[in-house]
Amino acid sequence: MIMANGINGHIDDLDLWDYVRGGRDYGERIIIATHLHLCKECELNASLFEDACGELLENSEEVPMSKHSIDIALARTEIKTKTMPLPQLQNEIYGHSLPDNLKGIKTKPRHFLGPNVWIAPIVDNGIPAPNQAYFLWVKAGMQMLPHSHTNNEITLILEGGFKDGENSYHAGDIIYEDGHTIHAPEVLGDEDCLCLVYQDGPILPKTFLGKLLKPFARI
Amino acid sequence: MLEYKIYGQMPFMASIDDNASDASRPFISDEELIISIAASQDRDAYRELFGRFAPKIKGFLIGRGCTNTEAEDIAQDAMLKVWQNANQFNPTKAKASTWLYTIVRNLRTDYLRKQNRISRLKNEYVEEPNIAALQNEKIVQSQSAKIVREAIEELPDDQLRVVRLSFYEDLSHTQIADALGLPLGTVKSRLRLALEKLKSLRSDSGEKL
Repeated sequence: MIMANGINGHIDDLDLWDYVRGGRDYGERIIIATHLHLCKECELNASLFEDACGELLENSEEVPMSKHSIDIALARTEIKTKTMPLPQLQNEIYGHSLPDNLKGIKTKPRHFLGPNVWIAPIVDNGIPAPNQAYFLWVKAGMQMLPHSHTNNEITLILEGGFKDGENSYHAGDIIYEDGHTIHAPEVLGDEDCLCLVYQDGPILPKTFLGKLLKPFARI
Repeated sequence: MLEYKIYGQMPFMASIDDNASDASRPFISDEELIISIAASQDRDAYRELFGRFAPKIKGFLIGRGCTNTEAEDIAQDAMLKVWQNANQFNPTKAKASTWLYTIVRNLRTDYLRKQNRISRLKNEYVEEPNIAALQNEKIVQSQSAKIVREAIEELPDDQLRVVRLSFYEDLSHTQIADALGLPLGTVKSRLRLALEKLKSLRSDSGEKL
């Protein structure tokens, strides 16, 4: 079970607004939606922004519907839809439970970068390369190889936590990184770390070993 | 506890198409219409709600770049969802326009993803999760409509312009900066100030909104 009390890393207001108004691509929307599921503070702000969007919708410029639109609308209410039993959706990934909003999410099979790290890319043909979202699992005690980013990266911790320089992050926290950062996060304590990561550009390894492994990492 | 009358049971609504003047009818709120739909599958209430919202939804979607046909189709789908899910609407938690907005937004993002998927589909079919099911559709706490409306109206013109371009025209920060001839940082700070103003409603009201 994911416990995400005491969250310190939140969604930036501009990102939250874009999410609420229906912007951003699929991978980024998933990560923001998942954080909202875990973070009451951001959920309340999103709710407030939704109210504002509702107000703006009410003030939208009207464009008349076609002549028989109301007849079509009323006719559609007559169509009886057969209620199908909901499929049992998986809400775990390789033994790790997921927040309810991720229930049924599809991934490609995980691939290991050594025995202590795996990546499972979220399936979505709609994400234009090189943007991608993926689950990242790192075993307790491990440290990632030093790397930077070609663009922006958003990480949401689902289980465990990690230390990055002077800062420590825990379940529910959102962490933003960009091309200005060179870092080598280290998993905290004795709990494995599972994250949801979105990046809109590939990572840049800063060591020879990292560069050697990059083709296998596929991120 | 709020009490709502059932729209279709009101004598004056025996026929919504009668010649009664608008002035002779008490105003029925959007929320009451949805409750009436939920309570008694009230087609008159649905017709009224459709008339109020479908043209706005269509206008909103055309502003977001949909064609006339796409906008009309999504507006139809949104209103059908209102009919089908009216019993899930809780007026103590969300205003009707907020609830409708989230329906429209989710339909639109789902539609765009499907379009994108079709254009990218090659020889293999990969089943994808439904974004609408993944999105956080839970509305925690509705804000007082009047307070939110006033907060928007009280935004300085320069901030309101950025908010409107972002919402109605679906422009990115960079596109807004280009459209207004402003530095990107200025656009971001104006939008941030507007959002701060909205967020301050929570602290101003002691989180009671």
